[in-house]
Amino acid sequence: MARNRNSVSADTVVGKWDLSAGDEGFDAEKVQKREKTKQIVKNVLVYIFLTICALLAFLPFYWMIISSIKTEDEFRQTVPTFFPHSFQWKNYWMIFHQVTTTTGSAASFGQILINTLVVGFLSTFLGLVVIVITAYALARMKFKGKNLLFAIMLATMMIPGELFTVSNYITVAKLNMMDTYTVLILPFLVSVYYIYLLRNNFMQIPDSLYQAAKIDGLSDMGYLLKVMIPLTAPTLISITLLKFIGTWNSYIWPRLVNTEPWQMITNWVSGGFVDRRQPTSPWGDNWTIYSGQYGSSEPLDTLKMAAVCMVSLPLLILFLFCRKYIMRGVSKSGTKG
Amino acid sequence: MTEDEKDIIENEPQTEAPKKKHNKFTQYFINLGARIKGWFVDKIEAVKDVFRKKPKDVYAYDGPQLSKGEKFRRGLKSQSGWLFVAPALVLMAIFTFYPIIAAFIGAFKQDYVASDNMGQGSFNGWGFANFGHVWTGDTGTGGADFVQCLVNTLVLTFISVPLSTLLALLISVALNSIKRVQKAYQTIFFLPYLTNALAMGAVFATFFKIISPTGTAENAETVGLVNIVLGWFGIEPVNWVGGLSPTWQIGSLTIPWAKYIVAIIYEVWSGLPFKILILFSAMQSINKQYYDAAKVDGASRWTVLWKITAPMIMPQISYLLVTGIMGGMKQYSAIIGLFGPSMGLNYDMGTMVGYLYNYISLGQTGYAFAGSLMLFVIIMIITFINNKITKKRTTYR
Repeated sequence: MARNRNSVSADTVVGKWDLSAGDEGFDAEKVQKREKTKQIVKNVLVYIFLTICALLAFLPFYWMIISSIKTEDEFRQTVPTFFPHSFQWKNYWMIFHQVTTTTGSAASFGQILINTLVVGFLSTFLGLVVIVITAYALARMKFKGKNLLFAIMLATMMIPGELFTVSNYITVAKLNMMDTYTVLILPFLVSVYYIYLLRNNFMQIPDSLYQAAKIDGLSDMGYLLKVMIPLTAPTLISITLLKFIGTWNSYIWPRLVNTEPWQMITNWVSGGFVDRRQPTSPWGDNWTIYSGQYGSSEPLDTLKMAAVCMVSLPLLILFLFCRKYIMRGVSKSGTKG
Repeated sequence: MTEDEKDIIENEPQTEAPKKKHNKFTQYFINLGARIKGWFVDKIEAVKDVFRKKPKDVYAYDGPQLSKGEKFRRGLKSQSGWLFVAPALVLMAIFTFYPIIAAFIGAFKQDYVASDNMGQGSFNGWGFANFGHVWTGDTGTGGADFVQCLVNTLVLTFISVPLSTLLALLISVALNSIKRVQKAYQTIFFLPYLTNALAMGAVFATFFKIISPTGTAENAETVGLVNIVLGWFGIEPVNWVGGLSPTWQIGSLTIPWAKYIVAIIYEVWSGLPFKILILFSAMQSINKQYYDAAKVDGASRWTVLWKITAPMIMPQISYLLVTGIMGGMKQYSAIIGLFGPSMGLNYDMGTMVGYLYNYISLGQTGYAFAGSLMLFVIIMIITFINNKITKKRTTYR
């Protein structure tokens, strides 16, 4: 940059004008046309690039869905098919009756789904209550030590959650809380980041509204319910969705603290899926789809893909309906739950 | 004290003009004396004030006089905010604050094994032995190896995060330059975000998996989609995810390069959505005037990208790198999804977090604590370095 500016600009200007002049002089129409074709080619290249990337991003979903309805024979063909020859919906029937037994106690898909939904709704609802009242107190109410408390809460965000998990596991074991829903819900009710997010949202609501409500005789709780919550509804919806998705995806904690009948849907999907009901299942019989072609302990990928679909598709459907809230929430918080 | 001085001290506050003009030197000492006397007088007055009987103060009417109980009640009511934060506080005390303290204490209990009931568990005195055993892998349990896990985590993180950020940047630039079907592309690119690492890890594993009775590519039923595509270019099928996956050996360290590639591809794919979302919305919010000005100056697309777009979204890029690296240091479930619950062959694809959970389930609490503290320190160091670098970068305009 220390070079003399004048000399540089003189060179480049001459070069630029040369380019458009061409050999038979300046032709505005021709230049315009050339520019236009250049633009179109560039656009086509951009679209091709984007389409390839989008196809690659979407390929796993497509593969998951078509694999889940293929027969195992077709799935294992030397050259895989990109559209199934025959649909085998029985795969889904099979996994609904799959019983996991790695620790001796059995759990069916129905049981697991109920666990996930109960824990998901309870922890989302209770978590939201805790987050809202805490954020409200931190944003609007006056009490001694408020700022110190908030600073300490924020400081805990610096520490990786894995540090807590070890001690929490011991705590839970000592309190004899294993194999309950409580243990899946309680430790994750408070999420400091959402409190922080909501507090900032609450702070943006002007003070005059609070004073007006006070003069009209509204209590703090009434103000929170009738004014604050309706005004911050978009953020609350985002938090609700992200918290539910986070619970749906939780894997590590349920696996550590609970045995199979109390675990969540992702624990179920990580197991192997074989072509028969185990003798320990409540149904007892040896119902199969391949009549013994594959051994009773050989994991079948088609069944696994059906299970993966059962876990992934509800979230994708939820996304299609709540696209706006989820994307806004994610861009604000950058967390999964 | 002369008569004159006395006169001045007594009359100083009131008199507009002194009767006699002293020269500067004398005046200085006169003023000094006055000030010293004034200081003593003030103090004496203050002491007197304490013993003086005060007349009853008169206030504006402030409602009826409050009883002591009423005052206490009102005092409590002004602190009712604590009631609102109490649930969060109790939960955090049990599941956040206590665990931090317990982790710091537990890490120094040598060979600590916690008991399941209310007992104290067993340990061999206090000291740093846990850290030593974790680092050298001398845990006597056959669990995951710490150094192996650390190397895996660092390699995977520091390759996949910059790679996916770069790719996300390219895609966002492309997205930003088109006008039609922008929303549709955006939605497709966001889809991987919502999926479950475990489930999609299993899907990715099927792309790479060789299904054969012997586990090798000969007499295989299928060699997997990726190997088939590589076969078109004359590349021999590689055992990407199975137990016979190729590795390099460096001392006691195993480098499962084939598995690394699989994991990195998955990490890039799953990291893209968030990065595209952030970068694209940052690009959308850049003032269009800059681009118009560049157009007028005849700047090329590359110049615009490197001289306008990139500097404007530098804060977002550094944010993504920081959060990406933080997340990468804690990766776990994707590895389980790809390589199964034992994280590859005998934990050769183990990660730091995987190490912790391995030792929790082995019941070796002391090692788990020591490992978690070491993870904490490493994350702190990386955060510190990140802050140093990003501070330099983000101020650049």
